Amino acid sequence: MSKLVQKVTTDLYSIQMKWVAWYLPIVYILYLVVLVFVLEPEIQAMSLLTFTFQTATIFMLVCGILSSFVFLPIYVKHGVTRKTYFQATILSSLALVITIMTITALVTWVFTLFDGSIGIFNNVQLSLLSTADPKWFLTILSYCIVIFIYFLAGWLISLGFYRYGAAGGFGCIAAALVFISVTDLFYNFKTPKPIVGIFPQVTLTSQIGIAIAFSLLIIAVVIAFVHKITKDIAIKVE
Amino acid sequence: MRINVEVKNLSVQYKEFKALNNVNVTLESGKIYGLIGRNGAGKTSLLSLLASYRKPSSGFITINGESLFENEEWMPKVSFVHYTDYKDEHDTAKVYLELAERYRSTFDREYAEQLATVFKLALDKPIRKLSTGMQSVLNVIIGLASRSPITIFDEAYQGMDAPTREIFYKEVLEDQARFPRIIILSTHLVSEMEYLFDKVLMIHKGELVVHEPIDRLLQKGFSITGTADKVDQAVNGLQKLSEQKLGGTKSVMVYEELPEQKVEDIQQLGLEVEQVSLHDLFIQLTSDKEEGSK
Repeated sequence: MSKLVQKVTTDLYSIQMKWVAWYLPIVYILYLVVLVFVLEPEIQAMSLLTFTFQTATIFMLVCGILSSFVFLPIYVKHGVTRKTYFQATILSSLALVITIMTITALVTWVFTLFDGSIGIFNNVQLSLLSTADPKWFLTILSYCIVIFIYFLAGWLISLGFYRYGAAGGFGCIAAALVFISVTDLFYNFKTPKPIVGIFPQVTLTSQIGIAIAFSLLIIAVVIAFVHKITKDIAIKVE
Repeated sequence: MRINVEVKNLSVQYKEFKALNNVNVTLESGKIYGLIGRNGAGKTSLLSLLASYRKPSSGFITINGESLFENEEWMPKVSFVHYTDYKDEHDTAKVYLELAERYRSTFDREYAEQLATVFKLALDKPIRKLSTGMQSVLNVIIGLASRSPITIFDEAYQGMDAPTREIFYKEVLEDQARFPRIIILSTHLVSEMEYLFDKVLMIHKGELVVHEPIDRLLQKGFSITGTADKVDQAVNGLQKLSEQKLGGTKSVMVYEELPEQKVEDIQQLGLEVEQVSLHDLFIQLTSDKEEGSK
């Protein structure tokens, strides 16, 4: 990896971690408030890891959208090649995903220490994924992969708008919806999903290994699209 | 660092519109190029290509023999200063200087801060709260202090008042003397900035119509004034750019290098021969009517 890729990766990671420093504490507080005041069984069963994962999908989607509108023009303006920006964006977003999920897993684990002593945690389950053991590792890995796909979807959508205008942007939204929906179907998340709601309720697999394998394939496909769009994208003079 | 930029057969096509058509030009270190052209002539398209903001539709740009687009060594050595919309920018000017310092190896932070003092730019104020003129000052400071071997200012003066523009021009000349590089000044303020130019690049409808040292170009523009029949006799065979007639008096602008003997012959006819300004040449060379007729 070139020194410049390392530098841009570090910078992108630092900037987005400043957003995470706001985002995570707010989500954690919101989780506790929801757990105390919303008495629905589905909510009461939700772990902090699962709760954060659900909000992180949107957070990462937004990070992906900002990635091209904000960072692409700034870096090319400072003489960074599109290739370096592309590599650094992937690496920094992966680091971001891992950081968010690792911190949250640690806090979730700390909460498990209070099982039985604090009532609100009594019904909590780590996740509803049909994971074999090691349950923690596979859950964290699955959540990381899925929120990374959301980041890539946001990135693809914003690149579509930036490069091709409204028509291309809406085309990329359609492609991103397909990628996200297929991912959701593979994992069979039993969570409110406006996107998946438009499709018939089908489950493609109950095997976490297969879900992970297919989602890695989706990641490869989206990255290939993003690479094609970024490699000679024109920067607007504005 | 001596560098040589070769632009060969460069064209840019936006859907149906050809913004640049087969442009060929060589740029050398130590020169200030004045890029002039009417609105939509293709100036920003050319500059976008030089800054690797866009890939040419055809043709290429090389620096010291290497292709420029996506070149990791050369892209950081090109600075493109242009109007930027800062209405949502909460960061301060100081953050922007830090960013430039981090990514431009030749950036001189001390000089940037000196310039901020000279221009009276508040470094700790959010950029969106600065006036348009001060936002342009920030762009110009970054462009100058980056000391990039290729530095492009595309109408960088937007919103600046006249005294601020004068400081900008003075700094361009002084810093160019200290650290010679290729500077391109794209402008509509032709009269105000022509003294800065070593060479003039004039673009019209996507084509490079002039690429000459400014003194040589100015030696080609003359107005010949006097009685109509004698003027007609004098300009016979010369390339005429425009003519004006008032009563029996006629004035014709010609675009041709006139040998001293020819000038003397014309003067002996009782006619007045005057050099025309770059501003007038620009207007006539890029006017929409049929250009120059022999």
